[in-house]
Amino acid sequence: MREGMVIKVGMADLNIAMEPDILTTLGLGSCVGIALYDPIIKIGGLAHIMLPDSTQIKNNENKAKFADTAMQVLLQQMLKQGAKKNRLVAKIAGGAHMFEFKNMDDMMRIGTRNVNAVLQILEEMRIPLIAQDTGDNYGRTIELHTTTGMLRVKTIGHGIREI
Amino acid sequence: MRNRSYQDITDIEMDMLREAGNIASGNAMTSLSTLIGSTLDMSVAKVRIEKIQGLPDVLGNAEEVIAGMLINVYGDLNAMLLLAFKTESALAIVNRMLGKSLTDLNELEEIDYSALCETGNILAGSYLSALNTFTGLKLDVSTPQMAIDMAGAILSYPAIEFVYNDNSMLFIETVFEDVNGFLNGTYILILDNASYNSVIESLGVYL
Repeated sequence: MREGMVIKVGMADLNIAMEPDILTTLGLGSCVGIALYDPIIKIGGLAHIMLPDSTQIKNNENKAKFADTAMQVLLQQMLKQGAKKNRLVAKIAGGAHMFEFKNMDDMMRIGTRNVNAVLQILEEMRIPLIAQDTGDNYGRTIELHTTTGMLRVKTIGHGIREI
Repeated sequence: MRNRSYQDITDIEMDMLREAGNIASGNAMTSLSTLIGSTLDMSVAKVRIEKIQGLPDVLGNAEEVIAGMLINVYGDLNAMLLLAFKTESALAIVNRMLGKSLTDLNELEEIDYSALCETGNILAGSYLSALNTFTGLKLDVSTPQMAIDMAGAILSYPAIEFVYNDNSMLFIETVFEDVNGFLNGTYILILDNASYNSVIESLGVYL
């Protein structure tokens, strides 16, 4: 089998890949990385969302920026390549609080709001969340390995985890 | 306040934004020179308009560890000031101020962290006070907050704040360096659409 390529997903960006490629997004802070995976045909999708909700936006040119529209687009792209919705599983990472400005309770924080929005959308779409590495106050780089569905989370000073 | 797209900014207006950046960071350089007892060189300010997808990389590599000091600016502007030091520079500041010889940011103790915060505080303060004097705009600022982490993760904070309606972010960047090359830092002043227009309008009276 050929060597896997590493495909970079930017901020407010998304992409899909087939075995043996790797999808990565670098330096997630308060943004959330959503990894979807179909273990039967070994296809993965990764979105790097910045904001929870697009419904207040008049002209949403960048669907990957918002959790709700990013999930729809990512799902469509994966189904088009042969993924089946009832086989998909999700893993998410990010949603940190990078700066502790005062007068802000936890529910107001953008990282928390992003994570909660993604969890709710996954539930509505009936896609099971099988792992998450979210919150806290540090950045994360993630890699979705499409051969196994493993999500590697790298941090500065907080270790490397495979979820 | 006028709302227009970034492509419509004229060359003269770009010059005005650049000049605001030059004046503000020039003032801060005087403070820093005094603080560390060394002469500093400053680049000419650049006005950058970057697409969202590339924002984690605007300071170099998204995964590179930096010490970032962030201040929210309110009042007549809706802006954020980010002062970023590369790892070696953050260590150099601490080592010079406290006579230490640290080589890794993981070794930072409470007092080192405070020294770094205080330096950032002074630098950010003098930048914003020069901006205030030059433009006449009223600026209220938050307490600065510092994070030592991946550049991309630190940049995500202002990015989220400023790209809600836009797919690009406008900021004025100044890079400074000490003549011996031991210290290197970057100021980024991020302005929303209404705010860069406010800066331009405040300076327009001089033309």
